[in-house]
Amino acid sequence: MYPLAIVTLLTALADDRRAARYLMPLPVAGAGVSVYHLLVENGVVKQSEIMPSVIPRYVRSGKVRVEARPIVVIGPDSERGVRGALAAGEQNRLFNFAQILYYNQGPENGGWLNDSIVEDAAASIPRLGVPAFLQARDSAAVRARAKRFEDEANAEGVSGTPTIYVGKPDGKVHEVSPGVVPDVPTLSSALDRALL
Amino acid sequence: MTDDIIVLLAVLGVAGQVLAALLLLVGLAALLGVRAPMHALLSGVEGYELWLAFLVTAIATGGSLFFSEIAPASSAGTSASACTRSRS
Repeated sequence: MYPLAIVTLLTALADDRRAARYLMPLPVAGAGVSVYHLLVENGVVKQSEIMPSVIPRYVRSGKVRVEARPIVVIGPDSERGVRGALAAGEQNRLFNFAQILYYNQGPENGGWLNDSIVEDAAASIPRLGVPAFLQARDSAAVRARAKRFEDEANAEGVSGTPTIYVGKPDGKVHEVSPGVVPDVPTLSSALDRALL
Repeated sequence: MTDDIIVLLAVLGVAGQVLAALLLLVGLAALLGVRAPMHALLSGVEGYELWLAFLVTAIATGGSLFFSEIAPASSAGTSASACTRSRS
């Protein structure tokens, strides 16, 4: 669509009456993409989501273990979220906690990720002990782990999230698709290579 | 300010859809042999068609850039893409 504004300006300046011949393909292609997006949004066309595709094949089958290392990316809200996630992780509920926050997120650094929502999120996770969660959240161990992940990310030059590393537990890990979120085939290929 | 622009773009979007529906009706009428509305329309915009096309595309492009670059920074919203962020 963006080139269309420039091309229509040029055709108007040149008073090119045959402009429709070369202008039409652009909006037609754009309309096609928009229709595709509508179909995806409404669930008519299914897209391959990364984790839902990878987990049944690699994780549930016991070949791969996913380890989340949350880091502060946006600001103070992130810090509270990181410590909550790590505290939930002490009871093996890190992903449940993170998912609930994503479903309920507000504007970035808008103060929505306060202690109240953290406690509500924790309380809504089945089989998560809230008192132990709250204790862990403020513990030195969780703070130390958060700092370690932060230091690792800084040392590795992690520039955003999600950044995905793949490797054997006792071997060197490498980043998959540096700078971008890998698609399912790319991540699958990286996992297959690591499993050889 | 941001809210005002969002409202303005929303109104323009609705107006554009109404206009598009009317144009379709005019075209349909012409196909069915009722050509007077089409002739009236053509004589009304004659000489300005390309500038009108530029106006529409410029507003659409500006609106798209506004919603992707300016509005997200100052308005609430939840989206899956928010999971992807660069470190500041």
